[in-house]
Amino acid sequence: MTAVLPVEWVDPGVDARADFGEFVRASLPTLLRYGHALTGNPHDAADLVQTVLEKLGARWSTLLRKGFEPLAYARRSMANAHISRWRRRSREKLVADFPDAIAESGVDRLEHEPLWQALRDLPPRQRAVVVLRFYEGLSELEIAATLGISPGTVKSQNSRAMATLRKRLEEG
Amino acid sequence: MTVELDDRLRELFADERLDLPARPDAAEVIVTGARRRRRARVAVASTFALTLLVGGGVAVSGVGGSLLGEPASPAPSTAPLPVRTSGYPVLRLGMPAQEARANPALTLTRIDTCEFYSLPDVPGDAVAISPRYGVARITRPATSVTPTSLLGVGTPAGKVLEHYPEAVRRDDLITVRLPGTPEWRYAFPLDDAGEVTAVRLELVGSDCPLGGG
Repeated sequence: MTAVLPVEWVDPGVDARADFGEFVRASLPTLLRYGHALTGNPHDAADLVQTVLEKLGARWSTLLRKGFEPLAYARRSMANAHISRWRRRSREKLVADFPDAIAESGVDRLEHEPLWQALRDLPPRQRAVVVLRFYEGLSELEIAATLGISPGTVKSQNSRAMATLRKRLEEG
Repeated sequence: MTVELDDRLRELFADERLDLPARPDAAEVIVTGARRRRRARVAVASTFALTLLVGGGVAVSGVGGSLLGEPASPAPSTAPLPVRTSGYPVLRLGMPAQEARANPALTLTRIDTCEFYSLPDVPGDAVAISPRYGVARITRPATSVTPTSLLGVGTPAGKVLEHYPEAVRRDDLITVRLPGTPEWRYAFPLDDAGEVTAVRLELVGSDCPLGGG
């Protein structure tokens, strides 16, 4: 049996299938850019965006029904998925071998920027905090809510990240 | 130094070189991937429910609904499925005729053994009300799709049967019995090309002539 009984079936007013496709088309540039900032390279950015959007699409009608704002939801999911994926890979020592389904070019045009290179030394959670703070412009409380950690942890992760970045830049 | 690093980070994250080009078919790849994930999730949920059914001897109609529901949804119930046309009170299968008739979304189109009504976004015999059994049919708007399987107008019959292996096809109509009280089903009328022309929720065993197409 494959039945589902929604508590209430509200007509979204649009075709959810077409709407998800439209959402993907409209949000891809901004999400790829955001993924690039989060992961530090085009390959992982494309993979992260694809994974998160596919999961979001699989639950699209439910999310709309519950009133989620899809773009904010996608960005939040990306930050968390990026951190979880790194943990998983680290634990299983997997070599990433994902198809580049989105990005046309694997060339990272920021390759030679010292600060971009320094960001690579940050563990994913610290990097996520930095991106949420300086890319997204979120407050400590908002970052804490997004990542599901305490404001104190946000503060300490941010301090460590900034110290590491300063050190790398001075060395460089 | 702190201020300078803050500024440098903001500047870096505003750099246009962060932009990445997307393949022209990227959106299609993702939409297809989302469909695949949805199917996989529904299949896993089905297998799990079946395992419980065999192992514990429990009724699917009582337990399957909640097991098969979307994980983060509020707990699904076996009560009649409510449907709301935006801005109007809900309708649900089996709702008493008198209560349903009071819904201002309904416009009477004809009276047979049952009464038929159109909805603001669904012309024709969108809703059927049996004086004895209450609301016996609710037709969804053409833009609406089934909540988890995303089946709707234009979906090929093969896809419907793929999502619901227990579905029954008779000529130009596919029906799928679903757990719940009262008993109900999806009805997917098909056109000559074998594509779904409407998504209907119907009471099983009412005295309304619901027919096919």
